[in-house]
Amino acid sequence: MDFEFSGEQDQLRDTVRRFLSERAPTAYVRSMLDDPLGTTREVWQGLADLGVTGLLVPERHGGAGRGMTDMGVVLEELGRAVHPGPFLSSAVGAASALVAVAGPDGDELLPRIADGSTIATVALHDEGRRATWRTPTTVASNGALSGTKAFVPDAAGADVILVTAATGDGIGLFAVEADAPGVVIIPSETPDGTRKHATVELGDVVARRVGSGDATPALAGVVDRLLVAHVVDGVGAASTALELAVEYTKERKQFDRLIGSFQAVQHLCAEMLQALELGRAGAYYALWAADAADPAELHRAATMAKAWAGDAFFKIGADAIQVFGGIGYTWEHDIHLAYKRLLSLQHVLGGTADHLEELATIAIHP
Amino acid sequence: MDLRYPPEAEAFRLELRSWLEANAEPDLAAPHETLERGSPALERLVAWNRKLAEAGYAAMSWPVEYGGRGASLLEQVVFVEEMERVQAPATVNLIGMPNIAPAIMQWGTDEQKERFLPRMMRGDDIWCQGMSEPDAGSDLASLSTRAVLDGDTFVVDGQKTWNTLGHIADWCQLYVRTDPSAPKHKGISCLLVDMRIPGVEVRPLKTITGDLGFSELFFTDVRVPKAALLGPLHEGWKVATTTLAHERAGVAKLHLQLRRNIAELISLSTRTILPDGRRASEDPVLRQKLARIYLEGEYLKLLSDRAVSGLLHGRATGPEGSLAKLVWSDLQNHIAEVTSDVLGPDGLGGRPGAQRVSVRAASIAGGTTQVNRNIIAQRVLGMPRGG
Repeated sequence: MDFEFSGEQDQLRDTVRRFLSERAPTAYVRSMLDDPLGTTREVWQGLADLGVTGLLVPERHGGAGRGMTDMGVVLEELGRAVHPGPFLSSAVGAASALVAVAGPDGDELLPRIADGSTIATVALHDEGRRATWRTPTTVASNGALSGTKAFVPDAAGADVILVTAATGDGIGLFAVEADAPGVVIIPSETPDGTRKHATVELGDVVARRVGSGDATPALAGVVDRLLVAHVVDGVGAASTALELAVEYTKERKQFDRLIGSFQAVQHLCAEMLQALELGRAGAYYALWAADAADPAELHRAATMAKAWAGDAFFKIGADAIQVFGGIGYTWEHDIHLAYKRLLSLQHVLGGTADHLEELATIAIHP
Repeated sequence: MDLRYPPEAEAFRLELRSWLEANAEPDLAAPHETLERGSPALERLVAWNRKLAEAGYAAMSWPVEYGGRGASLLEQVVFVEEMERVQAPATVNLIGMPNIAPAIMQWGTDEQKERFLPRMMRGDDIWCQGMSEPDAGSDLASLSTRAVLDGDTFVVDGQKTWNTLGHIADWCQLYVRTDPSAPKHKGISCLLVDMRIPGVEVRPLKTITGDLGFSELFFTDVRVPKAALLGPLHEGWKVATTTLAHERAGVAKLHLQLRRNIAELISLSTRTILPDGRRASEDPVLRQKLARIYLEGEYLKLLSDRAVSGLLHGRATGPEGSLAKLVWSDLQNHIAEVTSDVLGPDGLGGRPGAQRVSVRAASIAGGTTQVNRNIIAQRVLGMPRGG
């Protein structure tokens, strides 16, 4: 019954926090809002130099061979700093997908993802198919892919896109060079400039298949890890939103009183903390499940994590703006950065109704 | 991070489980309000309490010097889990063991400790607590029951309400005002009062459920020996706020009963047939609600687990402990409401209907939701007090 991070993990947290506050403060975050990649080469290399891009890559393939609990420490800090860029897509999504689908021999991309020299992402969803990934409409035939992938995270900045497609033997995972002939990447317009998405059109694109056989079970574990990763990022972003709001209630006076002394404001903040701490316990549990439990338990934990955080963390962002009042609605104030990050979280990999339905399937035994 | 229980806690679980298999009896967990003095149900419960005491399970958290087991926190958690699993009560003194005994240990004289603690542990004496008054609810320190020292005797006059177990109690830990001129937190004292002496009257309090679940206590010229004082004169507020340093497994209890209720609700949904022939558990709207309830139950457990972990690492009170009560009371209401949703019109009848009434207590008893939110805002988030 030990829910605490280790001393080593606390050190990792301090290191990442210091790096982000020095190299990627809010001014940097704002400068990346309209950048297609969302990171400067310098900051990306800085993260790689910390060793965090390779945390999930096995040592024999050039990484650190660590688990999701270590990765969670990094992700929470990135969320706290509302850090933009393709880290989650490449270091969690692509790395987990390659490890899971390629098998013990690994994949040629893994060392390059680990050292940050290649940025990769996973394209799981097809246009018009909401968040289902188990029945792709993109098809592979004779080694070439055709179809349209929707809401592909960080596609516009990625070097390699790992695309799921229907094959003769189930779902296959294919590595597509982003500049290959037949690939058209159309950035999506969303409110959150710290999370880039794009539609990826594939017209008979020659691609390399990763691993062999039906990748569905392996990808299920990857999707669960991605869910957990986004939720842990949300723990960080929601913590920032709550902290900023509570700080403000201790400075701002109206009617000659600090607004933090009004019970209506106190109760709002207490409810935000309640939502955050429940979500934090669930998110940390899911990290542990990713490393130590069986796939079914990880799936249950990940489904619960997103079913909770999707709406509860979004509401923390919304209530934080409410606490600020008018100033919170200005572009100048930083609170909208966290709000929009949590708005992205609410939608990514399916909405709350989708995850509650999946949870019902897990919990209800006829 | 390792969310498994350590081997020694699992070893204790096996030991306790086999003892319970040999000794636990069915239907011991009668609601306390249905117990009557001298009734067979109460005698059976007290007998069970003594059996636990003889086996060394009646006071898991108490230090060994007071006859307790001095169990580790995780052993206490395992104990709570296993007792819930077989639906066996851990003590007849559900107020005394967690709430009164720690104060006697910290503030009592040697004579008080020897006289009261062993009998409380065995269930030989049943204890209640006289705190709330008609005009002192959330604002407990404004209590006005008076005790005036007359030689070696306190003369007590006043009224207490919302008293649990008062109707069967032998003893009462009573909070009284001994210095009316002092600020309200300063003039309170704590007395250990024999409930059978003249001038003590117990009247049942009928609640909105129609049941007689609580008592009102009336004290009229009750003469209590000075030796009944627990802790220093006028320092009763300190006695009342004695930290429950060794009753820390309490947070682990909150989720157990509710998760059992949730499993029963889910099972009910698979047995309830809708007019179109589908089961309630197949209806998309009800599935969303059931999944949400399940999620809240599982997350209350994880919040509790994290609080236990914090305690094990020496964090006296994390936000998890104070938040758990809020989550627990919300969840009680949600379970009752979704049970109604699953049953439709049938939800108004029988136990489900009665539950929709009784759950109103959840957000009031043990500190209202609003007072708890004030506490969280001010003590956890450090927001300024109103004024």
